[in-house]
Amino acid sequence: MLPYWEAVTTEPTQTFIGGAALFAMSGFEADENAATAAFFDFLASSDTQVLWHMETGYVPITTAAYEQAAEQGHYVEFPAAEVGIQQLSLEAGEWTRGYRMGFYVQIRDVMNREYGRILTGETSVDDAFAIIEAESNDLLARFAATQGG
Amino acid sequence: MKRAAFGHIGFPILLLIPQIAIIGIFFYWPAGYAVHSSFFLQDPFGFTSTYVGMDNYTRLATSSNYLDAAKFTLIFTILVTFFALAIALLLAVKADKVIRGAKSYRTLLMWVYAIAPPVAGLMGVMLFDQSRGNITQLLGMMGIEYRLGVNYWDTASAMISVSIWKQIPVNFIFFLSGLQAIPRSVREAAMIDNRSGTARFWDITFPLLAPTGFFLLIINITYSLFDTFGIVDTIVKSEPGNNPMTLVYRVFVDGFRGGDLGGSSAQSVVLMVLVLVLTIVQFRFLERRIHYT
Amino acid sequence: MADITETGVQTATATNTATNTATAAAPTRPKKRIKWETVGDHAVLIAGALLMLVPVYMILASSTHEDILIHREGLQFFFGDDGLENYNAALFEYGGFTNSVNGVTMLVNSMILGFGFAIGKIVVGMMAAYAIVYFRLRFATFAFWMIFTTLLLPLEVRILPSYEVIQQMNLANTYTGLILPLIASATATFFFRQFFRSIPEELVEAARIDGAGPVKFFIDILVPLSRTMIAAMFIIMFVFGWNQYLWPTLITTDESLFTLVRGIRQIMQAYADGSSTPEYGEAAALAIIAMTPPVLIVIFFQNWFVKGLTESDK
Repeated sequence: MLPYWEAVTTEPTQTFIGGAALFAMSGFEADENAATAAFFDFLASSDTQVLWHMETGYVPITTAAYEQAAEQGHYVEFPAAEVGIQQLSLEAGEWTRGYRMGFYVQIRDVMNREYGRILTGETSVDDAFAIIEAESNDLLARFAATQGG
Repeated sequence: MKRAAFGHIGFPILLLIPQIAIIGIFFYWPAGYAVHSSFFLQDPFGFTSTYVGMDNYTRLATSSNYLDAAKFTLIFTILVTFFALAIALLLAVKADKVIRGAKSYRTLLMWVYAIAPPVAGLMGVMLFDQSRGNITQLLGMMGIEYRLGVNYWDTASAMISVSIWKQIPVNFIFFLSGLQAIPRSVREAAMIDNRSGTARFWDITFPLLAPTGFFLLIINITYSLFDTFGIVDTIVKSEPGNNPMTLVYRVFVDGFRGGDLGGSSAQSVVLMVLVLVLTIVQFRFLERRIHYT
Repeated sequence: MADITETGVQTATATNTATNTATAAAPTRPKKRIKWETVGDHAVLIAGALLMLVPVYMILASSTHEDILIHREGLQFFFGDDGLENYNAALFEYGGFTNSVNGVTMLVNSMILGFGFAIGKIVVGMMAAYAIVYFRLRFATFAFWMIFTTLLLPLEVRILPSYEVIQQMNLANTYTGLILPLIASATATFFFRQFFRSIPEELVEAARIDGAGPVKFFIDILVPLSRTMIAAMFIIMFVFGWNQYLWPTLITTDESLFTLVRGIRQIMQAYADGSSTPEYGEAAALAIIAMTPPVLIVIFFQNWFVKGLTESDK
């Protein structure tokens, strides 16, 4: 599970995945960090989130933005746009903690390659997934090694 | 070294400084950096670095992905080199023979030299496109189903064709100038001795062209290995998937996209060794050839 | 025959020589057979010329059609009516993620890369070659090997480390970072070294007797003597720089620094994306714009170009 602040919540629900993660790295000057924080504030503001949500289909990251979008009647017009938000607001379980995956790019390349081979009939689904599993485990072991694991 | 050299010391050093500085910073430093990082394992975010000895190399030797790329690169290099040389030689021999329009032919056959590999690749993508490519349609009429980007060897054949096309002009220029360097007296003697054009070509012209040919062989191998990056990248549209990849493309995919500095550096070092060996072979052979002719 | 191709004399003289050569070389051969052989030679050459020409012609023709036609039928053989629109879009319409780049920007960047690379390489190379050939240096052999080892390894094999180095020097997304690493190879130095060594030694002796120092000799004698060589090298290097792809792809992420050839990659990504009809017409127009300057240079200066190419690599 991703780290969370107890000051914000003591009962984290589903984690976020895919393309929505922004990280501020350590080792910068205070004024640069302040700028980064201001930028994050801007991104997280309801107006920005509603715009982003409506234009791209990404889910908003705050409930305030969700409510603002609902007020504007977005879900009356596009009911499907609300489903993801409702799902992500469900309670957490054992298998909903997201993942942190190094060399994900290479793993995705392995997956793309094998999917391609499935579609051209060069391999069976089972064989393809066996290869994906083996090669991904290998890459994950390599990532674990970078973390002293 | 010229005998009548100037005796100054400071001035020549001043002249050499820009060259030495540039290759020091942008050649030796990165090359050394590559060798150094090939013994380390870095995490994809660049925070940690662990010494792993030869691990990155043994990994390459056992990685089926890498070995596939190596195998494909070998086939690719052989085919591109062979056809680019053969077609160019044929055209050069003919261009050397004809009198009318010789200059026009030379121009028409060499200008493609100036087209950048990715631009050639873009043309290839449009011609070989899976649904609307003109060549795909042509093959379809002949009952051949051609699927660029889906079928491994279909993609490979597009890469190979475009790479050959792009390399013909250079080979043509060198072969033609090699042919024109053959003295008139030799040609005339050959004409008298040997009536058949084909036999004359294999007995006289071909051996005399051997040094040019050997030099071009090396040039074409390096071209296939390195300069075709733009063609490979455009034809797979930057998403290799289950398409073939050359070794240089792998360096790029693993290192630049995948963030595996150690693994990519080890691949770079392997390529460096390969080029070094190639160059040594070239020097050895060329020297012997020069004595021979 | 060789001389004809080299100097390109007019057809009248060419025909004249042709008759001479034919009669001199094969006096006993029946006329008809020679003719058929010549027809065959021309057929092969025309086929070769078409192989080179037709794909580019199709791109040129297609650059004058609208996207949807190319999307339906593939590349076109005849010219259409949308040329102005496509070239206008390719040159002047701002695009990219940040809307900060258009064809003209990329054209200017390609020019900067082509000229910067060619001039930089020639200046640095001539200076180094002069030092190596005309001076007695104790470490000359060492310098020679240090410089010429760079001929062996193209930038492509050390891209990632080079990128890291540029990154550490804060040179990413600068023209300096774009051009300098490409200059770090000794092709021009090697070329000028060969040429300087072929210049008669009496020349430098005469210059010394006249009291010319090394600077004066270089500027007043060597540079003017090398004019043709400089031109030849310039053409090759300009084309080489203009056509760079991998390095600009890595080092320029700022779209306002994209070159035309780098811009091709963006087109391909839109093509791969597949969410809307790719802008084929504009893409074809951009491809034509990207190839025109180097192609024209090679065609117009082909004698220098061929000379430079065949003599530099020996």
